[in-house]
Formats: sequence, C-alpha cells, structure tokens
Amino acid sequence: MLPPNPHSQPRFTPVQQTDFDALGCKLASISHGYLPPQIKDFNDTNITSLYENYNQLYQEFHAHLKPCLSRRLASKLNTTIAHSLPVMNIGTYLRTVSIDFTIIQYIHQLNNSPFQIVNLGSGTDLRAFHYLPQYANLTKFIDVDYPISLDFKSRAIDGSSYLTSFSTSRYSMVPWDLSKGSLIDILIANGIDVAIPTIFITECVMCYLEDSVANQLIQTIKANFLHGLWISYDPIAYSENDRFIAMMNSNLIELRNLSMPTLLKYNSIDKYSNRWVSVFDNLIAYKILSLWDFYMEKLSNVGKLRLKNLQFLDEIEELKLMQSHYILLSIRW
Amino acid sequence: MLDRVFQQIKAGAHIEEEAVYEVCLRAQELLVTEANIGVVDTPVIICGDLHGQLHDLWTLFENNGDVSDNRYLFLGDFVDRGFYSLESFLLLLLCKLRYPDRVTLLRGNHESRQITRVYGFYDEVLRKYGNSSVWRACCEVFDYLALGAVVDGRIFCVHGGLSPEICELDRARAIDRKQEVPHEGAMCDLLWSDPEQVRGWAVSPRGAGYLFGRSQVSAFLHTNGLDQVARAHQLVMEGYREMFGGRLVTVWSAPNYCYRCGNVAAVMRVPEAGEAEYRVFESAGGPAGGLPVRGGRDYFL
Ligand SMILES: C[S@@+](CC[C@H](N)C(=O)[O-])C[C@H]1O[C@@H](n2cnc3c(N)ncnc32)[C@H](O)[C@@H]1O
Repeated sequence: MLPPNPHSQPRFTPVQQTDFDALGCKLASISHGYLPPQIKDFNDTNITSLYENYNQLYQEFHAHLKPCLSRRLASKLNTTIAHSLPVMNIGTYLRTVSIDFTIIQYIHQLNNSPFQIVNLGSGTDLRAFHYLPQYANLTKFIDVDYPISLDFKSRAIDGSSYLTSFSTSRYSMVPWDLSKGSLIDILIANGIDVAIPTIFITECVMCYLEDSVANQLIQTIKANFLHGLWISYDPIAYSENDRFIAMMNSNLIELRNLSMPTLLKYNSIDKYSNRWVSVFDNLIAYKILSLWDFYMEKLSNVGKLRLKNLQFLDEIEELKLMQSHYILLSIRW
Repeated sequence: MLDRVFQQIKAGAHIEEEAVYEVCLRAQELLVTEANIGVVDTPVIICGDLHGQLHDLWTLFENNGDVSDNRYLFLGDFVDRGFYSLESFLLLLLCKLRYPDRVTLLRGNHESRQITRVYGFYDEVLRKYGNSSVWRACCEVFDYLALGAVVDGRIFCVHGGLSPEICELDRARAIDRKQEVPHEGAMCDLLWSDPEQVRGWAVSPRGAGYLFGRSQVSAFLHTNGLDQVARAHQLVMEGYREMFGGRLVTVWSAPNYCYRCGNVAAVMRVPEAGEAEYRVFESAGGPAGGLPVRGGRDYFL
C-alpha cells in the first residue's frame, strides 16, 4: 500500500471549489488595497467600523489555511492574489461593500433590538467575525455550507488563537446541504430563534442551486421567520441570449465543469426578484440593483478615484459590462 | 529571418529571443523615420484594439485580404489581456517591415511599460522566456510608434481621442513622442481620451485623458479641415459605433474581448470614393488545442 500523500486533498466538487475563487478574489482585493473600504469612499454612509480588524482577520486566516491546502490550490490562490486585474478587484470590492452597506442600513433601523444573521453557502467568508464584535445585540451568527467546506474553514480557524477568539457561543457553523430538507430544524437546534429579525445572506449561492431547491429554500424561510432581511448577490442575464452570460456559461463549463442552472431562466431583474416577491406576501420593501448602479450611485467621486488609482484601471466599459451582469437584491419582511 | 519568424507565429511555435530582438531593432529603425501623424491613402482598412487575440487577428486578415494587396491602419492596443500579445505584436511588425507603405501602426495606451506590467504582456513574456528582456525590447519599439494618422486628408485616426492642448494638428506633429506614455499632457490625451455626451472637456473616469463632446469634435474637425475622427480604445459590443452624427466613430477589433465579453468586432473599410463600410466579425476562439486554461476568463463566483 502507498503511504498517505501529505498533499492529498478531500475532493471538492466544482461548486464547492468556487469558494476558493471567492476567497482568492477577496485576498487579492485586500493585498492591492481595495478592501477594506475607507470613509471617503461613500458620501453618506460610514461602514468602516465593520472593517476594523479586516486585514488581520484575513491575513491570519490565509496564513493558517496554508497547511490545509494542496500544493495546487495554494499556488492557484497565490496566482490569483498576485495577478488579479483591476476589474476583478473593483468587482470584489463592490460585492463585499454593497452587502455590508445594505446590512448596516437594516441594523440601524432595529434600534439595538436583538437580531441574527445566517450566511447560507458562507464558504470561507469571515463576515461573522467582523459583525459579532461590533454588535452586542447580534445574538447569533450562523454559517451554513457543505460539511467538507466548513470542515476546511474550521481547520484554518482552529489553528489560530486570534481567530478562535472570535468564535464565541454566539457563532456556529452548521454543516448542511441546502438541497436537503429541514434546514429550519437544524438552525433552531443551533440556537436560532425564528421570532427574532434575521438577516439571510446568499452571496453568489442561489445561482448554483437547482430551481426547485432555490424556490423551496425561499419558501421555507418565508414560512418560518416572522421578520427579516434577505440579501442575494448573483450574476444575471438580461435576455435568453444574453451574449455575456452565454459566454460565461460556456467558459465555466469548459474550464471547470461548473453550471448555473437558473441563470437563463430568470433573465431579467424582475424575474429574478419575483422569485422572492411572489412568495413573501408580508413584504415591507425590496430593492434590486446592479453592482454597476451601486458603483455609480453610492460611491463618492473621491472613492471612485481611489479605486482607480490603486492599479491602472484602463477600461470602464469592461467594468460596466461585468458589473451590470451582477445584481444585489434585498428583501425586507 | 523575417519569413521564419512569420512561419513560427503561424505554427504557434516558440520564437527565439535573438529573432525577437532582430525584429524589434529593424522595426525601431523604420518607425523612427515616421512622423507623429502619418499620411495614409485610401483604400484602407482601419482596425481597432486587438489585445493579443492572435487568432482573431488571423481571422481579420482572412476576411479582409492579405497585407500584400491591401492597406491597413491599426489604431493601437496590440498587446495585453489576450494570451498572445507577443505574437500579435511581432506579426504586425513583420507586416510593417515587409510592406512599410501598406501598414500603419499607431500607439495605444497599452503600448506602455506601466500598463503592460499590470495587464498581462509582461507576465506573458516572463512565462514564455523566463526573463523580461523580450518585454523590454518590445517596449523600446512602443516608444517609436506613431501617435496618429490622417486618411485621405479627411479622417483623423488616433487611439483614444482629442486633447484640449491640441487645437491644430501641427501641435501634435511637434510632440517629442519617443518616450514612455506620460501621465498627462497632449500625448497622454491622444491615447487615453474618450468621446461622451458632455459639454466642454470633462474629467475622464479612467483617470487619464479627457472626455470630449460633440462641440470639441466639430471645432477640431473645422480647424483642421477634416471630416471625421476614427478611434478605438472603448469596447463596443457591436464592433463599431458612430457618434455625433457620424463625425466620430469607434472601431473595436477584438471579438469576444478577453475571451469573456461576448461582443462582436469590426473593421472600417474606407474606399477611394464613397461611404466607409463596416465589416463585422466573430471570434475564432483560440488555437486548435484550445486556449490556455490558466489565467484570464475570470468571473465572480
Ligand atoms: C461562490 S461560493 C461563495 C462563498 C461565500 N458566500 C462568499 O461569497 O464568499 C459558493 C458557496 O456556496 C456553497 N454551496 C453551494 N451549494 C450549496 C448547497 N447545496 N448546500 C450548501 N452550500 C452550498 C458552496 O459550497 C460554496 O462555498
């Protein structure tokens, strides 16, 4: 028998591997100085307090991730970090800050009353660790992802005393396949109270779910939680034969056997948001905007200039094309 | 020697360092004799950004005819982003060396040391040669590329656009162009500016060059006795776009830009007499064996 290979890695499916892309992009944005955001990036809303320990969190995480990575993954991650282009770095910045921006606005309206956050398909995202120290009234933060993904994440966290210090009783990882039933039971078993306002995040997750699974998820959450906010970030097509999305689909299949089952079905922002709007009959408000709109409307001129000058951003058209094809939906009920 | 390099590019074979230096040196000797603003006759085929998409450049030549019996004007941005910047640039230099009067090469904002370090050409050379000397040799050539051209005394061709410092074209003729693209000033503007529905000169969202509107174009054309500005620099999904009642046109010749954008490309064919014609084409993809898997074609996942 062969001795176990020290670099053997549990096999991640193509969907699970996308978490390494998300992480790589984030680390690249940090190393080039896009993230964390600065006060001057926005005209009116200050989200910087959320990012106080941002660099250190991700540096620690990256450092303690290394022993858990296969050589191939480690080198892929390093390439992403070193060679990430401005369009990608700005896009990652927009994705990250637009979600936090929306969450903070919601939290402000809660007037210090208790709330909870559930990050569905969290992957290695460390949002829990910047929100928990900031908000004493954040009674529970739960990360949900496949067992293999959260196992990987917790191994890196466990290796760092700095990171484990954030992992208090208010934080839980729930290894779970979202396509299986009874998510609610396991959330409750992990300390979630369905009567407390709850923020659900699906950051580039809905796009990987089968249509029926995604719809079931929306219905389950609507049926069980009295109040909440759902934030969903995803790519979007604007017609059945959207050329950018068609190319994206064929590239992703060719390069990594990855498919996004509902992308061409919900091929407008109305069709996308209607998946929620038609289910939530107790809707208070909803908003959907492209990340390009977010860039144009929410960033200050000084902020835009800061982002552009970090590397040489040469193409606004490409940035616009790409960011128009990603949207952020927020549903409040 | 030139023939051999041509065959190597065609076959997708490695090109020896020495051969690259030789091509670059000869190109430099030729380009140094050219004016900042060239004079080009019709008929001519005007081509926009190429960005290292060598296989699409071959398609462009196939669709529009051989350099041996056609006149071509390239508006710059030969390198970066695509996987074959070096081969694309060398191919154009070979064409230029073989048919100096049939080929005009203008400098784009990507023909610069600073930009190529961020956008891929530098990394490509490092990958292919293990050192950056070839990149350095190409950058030397960049410094000698012309800044603009006037086709048939009517059409001003430039990579980016106009500059508030250039009312009369003679001002552009007087620039000392043999240098790295500066961060501001007339030379920078020619390579970086964009047309937009603005009044007056506006700050460019790119952080270099200016945005200029219809009245700037009218004034410039009037002052210099010209009819039209033809430029590249901006991705247009349809391959070309006319603005300001046709007084300015953007031509984009990199189909499915970055193997990701899904756009078509176009060239502008200007005949001796009569209207210009745009010929649209789609991407050829990559080499027969497929594109390199690593790098590029990134998405937010
Ligand atoms: C692109 S990553 C995004 C990670 C994180 N939300 C972020 O944006 O940084 C998608 C994540 O969704 C998870 N995911 C996809 N389908 C899932 C399912 N059926 N059950 C649990 N997790 C799932 C993947 O494992 C992966 O970690």
